Amino acid sequence: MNFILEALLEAFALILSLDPEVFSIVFLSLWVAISATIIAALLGIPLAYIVATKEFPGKQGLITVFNTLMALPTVVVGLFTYSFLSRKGPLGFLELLFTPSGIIIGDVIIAFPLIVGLTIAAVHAVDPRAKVTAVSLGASRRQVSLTILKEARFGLMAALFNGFGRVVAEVGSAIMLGGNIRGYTRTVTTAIALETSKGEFAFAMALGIILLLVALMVNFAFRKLQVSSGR
Amino acid sequence: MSLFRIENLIFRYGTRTALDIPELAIEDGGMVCLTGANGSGKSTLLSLMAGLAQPFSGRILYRGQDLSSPDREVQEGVRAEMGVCLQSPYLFRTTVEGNVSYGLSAKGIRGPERAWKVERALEDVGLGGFGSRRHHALSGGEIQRVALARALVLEPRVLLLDEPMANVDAATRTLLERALENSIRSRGITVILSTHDVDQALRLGTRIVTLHQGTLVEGGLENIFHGTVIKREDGWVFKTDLCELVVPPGREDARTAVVPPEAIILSLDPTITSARNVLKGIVTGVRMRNGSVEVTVNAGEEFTSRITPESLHKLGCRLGMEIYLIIKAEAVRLL
Repeated sequence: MNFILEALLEAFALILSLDPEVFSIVFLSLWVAISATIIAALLGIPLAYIVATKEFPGKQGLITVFNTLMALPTVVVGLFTYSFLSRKGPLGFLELLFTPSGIIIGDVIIAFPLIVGLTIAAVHAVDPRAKVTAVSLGASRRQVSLTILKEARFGLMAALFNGFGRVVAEVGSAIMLGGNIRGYTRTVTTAIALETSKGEFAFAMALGIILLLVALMVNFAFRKLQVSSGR
Repeated sequence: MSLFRIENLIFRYGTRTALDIPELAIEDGGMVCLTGANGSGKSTLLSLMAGLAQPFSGRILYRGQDLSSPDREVQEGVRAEMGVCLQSPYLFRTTVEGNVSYGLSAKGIRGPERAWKVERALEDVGLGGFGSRRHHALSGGEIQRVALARALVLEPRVLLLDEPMANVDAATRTLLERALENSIRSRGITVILSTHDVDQALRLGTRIVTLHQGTLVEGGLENIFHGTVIKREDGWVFKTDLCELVVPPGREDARTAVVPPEAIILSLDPTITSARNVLKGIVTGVRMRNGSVEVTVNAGEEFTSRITPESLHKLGCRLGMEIYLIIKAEAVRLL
């Protein structure tokens, strides 16, 4: 018990001393997770809107695929992406393996189905009268789409925060595609895995606490946006 | 050219025919009231006229333009002239101001002009100062008024309103009726309003169109009788508790008979006629309505006949006098 307490105290000391290594790891984690969430959202939200609002053969099958991919194991994503980005792989010439961009690619693949699946559900949940009303008030097709997405904003925010939450906390893909290189591709989760295996509990604990704080802040922000969106 | 012209319109929900209107023309100006019981097809007809649904077959022309046209410019042009207010209006999840200004923003109208128009529209429906209220902080009646303001603010040429006063109290109803009448007078718009409130239709309507199970009942609310069809040796008869009408054969299942007021000829004596129905009655009412004269005659059931002022003068019609109603069997419509 003492050992956990000591580690916790040391962890807080590290955080309060603004340890540069701790903060460079946290900064990289946030940068990678935010970038991946934004890219996945830019690709996923328009696709989800089309899937949710158009009728086409195989639509239900596609939705089932996205829902299944929401629980995609991150190591599997890491493995497949590794095979593409490795020197012998088809995208090896881009030299993205063991770089922050490599981690972002993996995280985009992880966040994308989650954002698509949750956005489809959010758009489906919008009252069908919203579209009829927008059309009757003279909105163009583009304006109708934006209106429906705006009406679904609570669900969209949930999709984004869930996507961010999943990629900021994942370790499997980040370790395989980033290589856990100190000062370059070491993220909070990969560092925790490494430091724990080295017996550096205090350092790992400090990073764990920061990760929890980030999760807490994200949830506070979500709650605040939820209230201000007039729900 | 008619404002709306409906030709051979059929609309189905699955296998159920919700609307079957062979022909209907609506002219510019005034307030047209669509009446009928719940489920008679009023809302469906308004949706089709607003271009928000497509007919199964047939067509609806708005100023000669087919609403089913795939040409997006035609659709947008027609839509820009119409204001629509649904029976159960949807408010966007924003403020009242955000809702009322939606259509203006879609048109690219911004700044002080938009703010001024929104405020004026809200005042027209008795919601001045409500702009900053959120959508969820409104009563049912207020939601209906916001939706009406949202349609009025676009200054449409035609306003299609589906039961706009279903959830409002008497004072608000009077206010909204005045707002609509003002819009008709000052902006020259045509209002097409559905209501199940017959009194309201009679009070407001410059024309009343009645629907019954998806079909048009010609002649509005007059001369609708309930009874049964009986097959006799000399023909088919529609029998109510108070009178009998010879009817065309074939509709044994009919329970309602409608006689268009224009199809009833008034005569002072039972002249030799090919018409199968000659009923003796007493004049119980004479009134002018939109340039013609409505004469009500009690011949067991209360019948209304619509004649010209010249015919009235010729007949010397007065209350309490005996008169004959001459009605062709083919003029009796069975539902």
